[in-house]
Amino acid sequence: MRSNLSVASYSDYEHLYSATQLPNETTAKNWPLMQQITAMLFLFLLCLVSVSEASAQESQALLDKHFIIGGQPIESDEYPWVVALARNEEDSLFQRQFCGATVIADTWVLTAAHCLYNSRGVVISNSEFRVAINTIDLQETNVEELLVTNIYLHPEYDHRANNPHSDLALIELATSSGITPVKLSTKATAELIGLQATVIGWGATDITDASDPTFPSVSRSVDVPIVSMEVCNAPISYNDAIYQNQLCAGYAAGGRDSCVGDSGGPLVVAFEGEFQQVGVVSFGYGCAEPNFYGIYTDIPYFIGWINQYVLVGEPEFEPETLLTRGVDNRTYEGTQSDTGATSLFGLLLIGAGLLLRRRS
Amino acid sequence: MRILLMTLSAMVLSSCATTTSSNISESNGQVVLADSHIGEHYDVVMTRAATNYAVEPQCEQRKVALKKQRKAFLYEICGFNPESQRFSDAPLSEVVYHFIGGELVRVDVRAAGQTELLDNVKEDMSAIFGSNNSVQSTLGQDSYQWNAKQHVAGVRAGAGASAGNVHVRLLGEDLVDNAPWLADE
Repeated sequence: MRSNLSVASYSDYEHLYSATQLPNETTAKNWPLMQQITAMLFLFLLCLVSVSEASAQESQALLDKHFIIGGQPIESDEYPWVVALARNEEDSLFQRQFCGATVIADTWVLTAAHCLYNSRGVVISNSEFRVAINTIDLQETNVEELLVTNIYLHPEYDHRANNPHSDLALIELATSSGITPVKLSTKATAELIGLQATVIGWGATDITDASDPTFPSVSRSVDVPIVSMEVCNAPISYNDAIYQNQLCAGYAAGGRDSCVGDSGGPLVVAFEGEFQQVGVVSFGYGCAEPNFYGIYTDIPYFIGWINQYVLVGEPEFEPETLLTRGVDNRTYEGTQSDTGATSLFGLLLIGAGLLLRRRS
Repeated sequence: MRILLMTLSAMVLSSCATTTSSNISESNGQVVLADSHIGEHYDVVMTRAATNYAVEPQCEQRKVALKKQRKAFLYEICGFNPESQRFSDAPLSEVVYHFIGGELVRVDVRAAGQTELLDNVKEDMSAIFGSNNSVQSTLGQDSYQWNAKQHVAGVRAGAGASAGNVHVRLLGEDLVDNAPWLADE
């Protein structure tokens, strides 16, 4: 099992470090065994020291930066398909905004199911909210807001559950948004683990005082890596509470995360220069707490359900019909893990490859 | 003997449960306090406040978080000082409405008066919440809480500088779990 993991990790790192040429078998065989072992040991120690230092510095930097999002304001044309859900009342858009969402087709918007429940746990009606489009600044005046004709909640979503999985809803607009939709990822979840993703929204930047969080008027984004179910469901983290139709993203050190007001917004990954939405902001223990990653609804898992309403593509894998939670080795066998040991081993192999190539 | 005591207790409880006052009552698990229902919409409550108390409450609003969720809720607090209004025979000194997402989630009523008047408040609360499916607990000195169905009601007899005041509040039970800051405020 472990060697399978390592081999898979090696090949994954290969494409990430495309400039690195791997040693061919002949060259390696020409090296005396002792020299190879010495080189490997030296590199291992070198990697250990540098990785530890980098991790410590990064952890400290993240902890010093207490802001939840920990990101930066976005540019107006960066993520045009990100829209805001706002209560249909008289207040300013800034006060009325309660969730994010994305345009996935001309008249279709994707969000989190829990966004469409009020504080008493009752589903809100179509007329109680609108979809604000073509803006990144909620303080802007005359923002276009579209009416809603239908909402569709995922049937498996349970608003009262401790872990409300299947947290997904579709909103049908009364009129065309005229926005080029975001592409939804159809890749197998296993392919996403370890990738750097970006989460976008108008959520709080500081919730030190939960009764009075700090909210930005301009939408922000932050980069967070997608972590494996093993890491996310570890006893020190969510302890087997997370289901296989959810994604976890963030840093073990905390400091960068989505937060209150980001719900329903997108988690995206850039594939060959094109953003694909892989997740929907769902929940988390606090925000940006160490070891408590942000939990996202796994979009590829739900492509089939979304296709019932609007065709967005075919999944590139067969989603498990039996929904399980916790670590399922069958699903993640042979895939890249983001554990420190695996990362070190991958770096070690790459480093060895570089050294051997230089010597040859 | 035991059966007799149980029968007497039941008779006392049932007689208490039917006690009402003009300002506070209970129906189907909904507590009516100063004519306000938990769960009512913002506009309805504001209209009633303007009509019944001849006041325009001063409101503040901010976005807040409920536990675990990453949806932003709008929290609005509207308060006013009524004149010539009474709560369970004690004069009202202040009423504050708390809304989350436009729905009334808590009412704070501060009544001021002599100790004997404040005892009436406590008795009324006991009458309303003293049914067999409620739990009364003592929070501290001169401070009590009744937990019935979906609502929590508290009566706190003031001490020290605030002696002579009673602070009554109603709060959804779910919100005590989901927004502990609301219960603490």
